[in-house]
Amino acid sequence: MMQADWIKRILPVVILVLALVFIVNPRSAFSHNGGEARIVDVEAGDFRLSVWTLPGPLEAGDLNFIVYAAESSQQGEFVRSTSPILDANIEVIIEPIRGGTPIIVRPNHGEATNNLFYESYFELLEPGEYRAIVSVESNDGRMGEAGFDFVLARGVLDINWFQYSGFALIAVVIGWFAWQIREEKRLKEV
Amino acid sequence: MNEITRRLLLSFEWRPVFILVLLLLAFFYTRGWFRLRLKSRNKSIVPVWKLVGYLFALLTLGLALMSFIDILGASLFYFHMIQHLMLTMIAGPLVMLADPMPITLWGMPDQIRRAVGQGLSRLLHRNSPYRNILKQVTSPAVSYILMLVLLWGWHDPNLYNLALRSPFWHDFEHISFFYSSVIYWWHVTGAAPRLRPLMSKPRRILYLFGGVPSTFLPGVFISFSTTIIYTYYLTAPPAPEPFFMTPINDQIIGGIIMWVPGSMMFFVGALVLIGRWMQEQERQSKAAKEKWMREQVTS
Repeated sequence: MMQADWIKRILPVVILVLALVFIVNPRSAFSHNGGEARIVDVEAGDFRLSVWTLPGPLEAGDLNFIVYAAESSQQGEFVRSTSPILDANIEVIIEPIRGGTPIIVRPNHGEATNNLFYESYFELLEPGEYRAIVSVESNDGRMGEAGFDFVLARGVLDINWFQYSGFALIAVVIGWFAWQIREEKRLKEV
Repeated sequence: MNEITRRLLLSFEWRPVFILVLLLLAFFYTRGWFRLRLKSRNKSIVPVWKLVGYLFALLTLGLALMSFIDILGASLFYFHMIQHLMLTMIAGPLVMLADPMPITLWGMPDQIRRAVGQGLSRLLHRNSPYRNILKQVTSPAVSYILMLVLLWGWHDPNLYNLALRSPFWHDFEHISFFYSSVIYWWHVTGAAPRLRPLMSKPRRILYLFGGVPSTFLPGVFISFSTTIIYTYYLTAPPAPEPFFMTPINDQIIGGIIMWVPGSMMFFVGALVLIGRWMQEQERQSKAAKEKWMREQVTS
């Protein structure tokens, strides 16, 4: 009985934590994909660069850029056999083609699911045409740069279903708490 | 092991919500298993292999969906096939063999168990319309067709490429694979809740052999194809040595994985059932022989 009591107390907390993690970071529940290829194995100074973006197609909201930098000496070989450059400094400048303030994001290993890649999650809310310039600087001072244009469509879903489902989950847990308190009261009365 | 391989193998897709759900399931099942073990006189109701099998199934789910297997699945077709096999041919059957519903219910606090149990018994009551609907949509024929349609459908190049480009569809693909496998193996293992009588052993053996074409046919087709079917992999994120393969070799190996190990679980299941069926027949004929001999002696 004692065991059941602590589980009864812990369980709602665990479910609340789950719901909160889900609301704050819905991404944490879902898988990560390869994404849409923007540039694949293009020559960029001393390196060869590839960039994938998510979601596909790109919509205003949360975006994910995945960068892969490889040695340029392996030029001509198929992209997948190249050896990656690890621990470089990567910077992506994203500027609206029709003018506006550019934003700078710094993809890194910390945000990447694959430790050989550099990733960055960021928010871009204004739909329109953009140009992304990706620059790489390795520890030994070698540099490279490549770019691509992309169109950011208006977000199809204005409703954030993930957050709503998170709130619904919290409501269920609170309801459960209330039900338990009522049951306990009823049992005491009996 | 070089630095690149080491870093790749240590890559992990951190999905806290999924990890917490797996841990909760493992906790309740383990607790239920221990409680039932203590309460029941007949320990064979909750054997050790069920606990080990269930925990291994959850571990398989975690590895398939968060480890380097998932990460390499975005780069290499054959790793994606390994991932699908882990979901459908290891995790699915093992979960159903472990009979998760009653044991997990026993792991919950008494009050919650009673509430959930009452809800389920109302939902699955003999005269309940939900029970009838559920019975129809999970019949062996529907389960078999569902598995076939999903396995073949998701390997259509357009749908497959869509799943690799969109995280939502990728998750949906994996969930549909896992649940179709669970429903399919439900009829083989006879796990609770039993909405219909368990099929006889010969029927279950046929049902299992019938499952072979679901992985065998697309596996053969993919591995003998001379062109790249899944063009996504031509521009996919790269995979280093020792995992690297040219796209055509990647496709051939992926097809073979789907074809050979993919069909193997159906054969293993069928062989186990054939063995049990033969033992049963042997027992019956032995009993009949003994009865006949007793009758001869008394006459």
